[in-house]
Amino acid sequence: MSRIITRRAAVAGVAAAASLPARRARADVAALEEAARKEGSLTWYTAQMSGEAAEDMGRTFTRKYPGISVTVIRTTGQVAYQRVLQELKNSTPQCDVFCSTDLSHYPALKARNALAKYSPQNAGALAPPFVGFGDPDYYIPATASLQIMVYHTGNVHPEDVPRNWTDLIDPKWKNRVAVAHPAFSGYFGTWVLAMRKLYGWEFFEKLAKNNPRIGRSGNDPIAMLNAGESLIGTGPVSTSVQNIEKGNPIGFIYPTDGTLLCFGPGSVMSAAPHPNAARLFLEWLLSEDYARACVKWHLEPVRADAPQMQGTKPLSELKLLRLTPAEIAKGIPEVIEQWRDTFGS
Amino acid sequence: MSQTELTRVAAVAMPTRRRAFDPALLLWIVLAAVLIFLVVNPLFRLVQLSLEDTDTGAFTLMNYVTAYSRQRYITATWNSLALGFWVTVLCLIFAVPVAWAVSRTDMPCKGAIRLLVLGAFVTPPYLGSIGWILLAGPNSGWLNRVWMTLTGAHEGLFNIYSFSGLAFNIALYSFPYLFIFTSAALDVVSSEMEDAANILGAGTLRTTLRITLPLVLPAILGGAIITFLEAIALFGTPALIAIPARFNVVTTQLLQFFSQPIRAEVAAAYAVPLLLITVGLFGVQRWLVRRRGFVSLTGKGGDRRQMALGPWRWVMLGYTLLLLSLSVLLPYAALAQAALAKAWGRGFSLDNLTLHNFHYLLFEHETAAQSVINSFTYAAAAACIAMGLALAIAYIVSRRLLPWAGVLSFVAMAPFVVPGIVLAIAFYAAYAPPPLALYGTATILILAFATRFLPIGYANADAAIRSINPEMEDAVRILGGGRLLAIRRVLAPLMQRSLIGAWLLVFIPATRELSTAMFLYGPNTRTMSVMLMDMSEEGNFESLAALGFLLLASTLVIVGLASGLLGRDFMLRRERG
Repeated sequence: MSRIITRRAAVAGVAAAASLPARRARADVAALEEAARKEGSLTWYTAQMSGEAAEDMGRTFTRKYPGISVTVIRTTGQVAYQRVLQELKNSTPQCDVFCSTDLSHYPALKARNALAKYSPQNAGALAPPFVGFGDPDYYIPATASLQIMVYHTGNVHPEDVPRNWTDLIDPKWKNRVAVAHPAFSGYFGTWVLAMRKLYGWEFFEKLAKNNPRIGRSGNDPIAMLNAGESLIGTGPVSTSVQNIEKGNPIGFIYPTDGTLLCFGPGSVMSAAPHPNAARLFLEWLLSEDYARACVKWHLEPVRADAPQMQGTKPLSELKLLRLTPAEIAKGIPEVIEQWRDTFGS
Repeated sequence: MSQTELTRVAAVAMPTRRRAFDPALLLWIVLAAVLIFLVVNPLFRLVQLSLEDTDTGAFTLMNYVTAYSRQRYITATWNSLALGFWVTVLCLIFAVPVAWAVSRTDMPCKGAIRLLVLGAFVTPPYLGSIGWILLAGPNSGWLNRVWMTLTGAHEGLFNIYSFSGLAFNIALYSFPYLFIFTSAALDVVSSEMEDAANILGAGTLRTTLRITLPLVLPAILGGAIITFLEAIALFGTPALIAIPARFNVVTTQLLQFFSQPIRAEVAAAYAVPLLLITVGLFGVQRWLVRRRGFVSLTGKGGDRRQMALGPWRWVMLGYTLLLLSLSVLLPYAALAQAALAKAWGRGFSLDNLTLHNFHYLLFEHETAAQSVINSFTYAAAAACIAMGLALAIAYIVSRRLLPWAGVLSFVAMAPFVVPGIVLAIAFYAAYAPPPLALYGTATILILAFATRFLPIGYANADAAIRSINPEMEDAVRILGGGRLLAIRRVLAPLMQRSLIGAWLLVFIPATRELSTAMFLYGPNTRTMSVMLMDMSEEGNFESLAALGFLLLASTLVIVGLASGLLGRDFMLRRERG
């Protein structure tokens, strides 16, 4: 079953899929859904959002496709990748759909034949920044995340609110800066790379003098701010806004030197224990339903027709920093080593 | 054992006079084989791995060179050893006086104190560290804010993000091991020997230091070694404290070998020297307790009385309560604020109170409730396996039933020194791939937990068996009874209570185990510890703290039920009749 669909989809291709008659596309997804229902569940490794959001996404999928439950494993990008590699090495596949925060994982997995070849029907509806992203036969853009600066609204005077990334290395914030760790968070690793590109590694030598609180996940700095331990830090828009909505004293700004746009890809593993449910889930990651869920959790949706988010600026109004997949693949291992030399852990 | 029973034992035993072949021997061999399978096989795979080339699998020593060629890696090993040392020293200072006061003196409020020690014991160390981050964060910790308010200082007094902060934090949640070991041993020391010292003119202090404590030295040493090994094997607390404090320990360093490019071989090489350290520690323990008799439970009655401390009992109570406030009361107060908050960053206020976090975990979250159930079932199964095996091996060793029994003793203690992560990798290598294909199953977690905590079971079973004079079994055997009969009718009744206590000692740490679970859990076998760690990365402290309370409450209920069924106090306390 899965082979037929895969072949058909592969032949169809992205462009073709977009131009296919709507009825044909629906019929394919319907067949996929039927096969997926027989499998009953799927396992989704994701690092692209908070666990709370991921759990809600899983439930949303099950509401749309009753009878197919989603087991969510939410962890940091590098830890998720470690698990996938361990599974590959020992031929013990568990992961069906892999959503990391480090782009470089995908070419590496593809080279090991670990990614299933599958081109989703829904791939035609991408918003401009995401068109041509990735490798349409193997991995798709699932989510984007904006990396911004966060601050504690209660303890930072309005005139002191940071404006750009270099505020992180201003000595007036000594002992009061919170960051994540590039060896855990893929998005944060991408951010380190972007800062190195903008300001050179001296940026981090100065940051080290400010004695930042180093967490692991990209979300960790927000916890440090909530605790009142740190006053400014880095973070993704989605978790920041979730915390603001809860009533936590978090504020954020789009740095004037550029907001970093990170892509979160999604792919089906070639050894997926639930191949049809996995493909259906990948289709769903490109659906309107998922785009709405993204907006609900303040993740950047990838669809062109997604509703506008409340409380955040649209991408078109922002000065964006972007890195190419090649830069990320080469750069992240480098900055992890540099980071350890500079920060000691 | 009553007279009639002895007669019956003799009657059963008499006809089988020929004992050319003891069928029990087969049982000993099978049990030793199980031990080898559980412990030696993964460790053998570990050593084998450390000598393999990553790509070709050919023999090489390069992994050891790589593992110890960088200053950063050596520093991490050194940090771990120093950490183990300081945690042990702190635990001795924390646990021994309190254990003595609870077991041997008339200090008041003992029930409450035992409950609080249990509270410290069931608290996962990383949950405690989150509590302590809230208490002793250099800028925002409650304690520091109080200090700054009282003194007008601009800087806090405590910095949890430091080496001493880490050691202190780990000690606060490791001292129950030493407490339990020491108080269990103190409980069975009869007052006769203390009385003898008193008659000869020694005061309370002198008697305690020269008679009572030396008598329980093996238990203290055993507990100290376990404390040391536990401290260097922890992953969660260093991840939460050492990484922000910008230094590495062995466990956080090991994790780096598993990030891309995965160098499991180097990780194995990096971990092997720790095994040698365990060997050394056991050598030291043997040397310290050499040629001394510690048999204090003879089957003969012994009077055990409490020492009257006079006004000093209030001093002891104050010390004990201070320790337990630091370990349990203050951190849980800090966590309670988060667990009951809509937005914990806003601090405490009435309109910020909610029970939603508990409701979310129990009824909305897909896997939180399941993870609680998983933790308890896996821990219970692991405790049964570990205790059964530990008891058998301890018996084989103490009665020298098999050649090289001393080696079995080392094997049973070896898993503890292997950091949980490495043990997990060894397990993964040994049991995850076909033909066993256990990855993602509950079995692999249960076996890993059983193996990891086998040393606790073994140390207890060993102490329990050592404290029983073989004379009593010999009596059965002189009358012609076999080993198994002696075990069933003499040893088992005598040890029943301490064994159930020991079962809890395996069960409780297994419910909070993180470092092994982290690598071996599958999508459907997530444990609570993994769940807590995941939540700590999400900035979702409200749910995390609430889950911590669910863990605390459910463990206390289970231990309470077990104690109730036993008709005795929890944690190895013997009733004085």
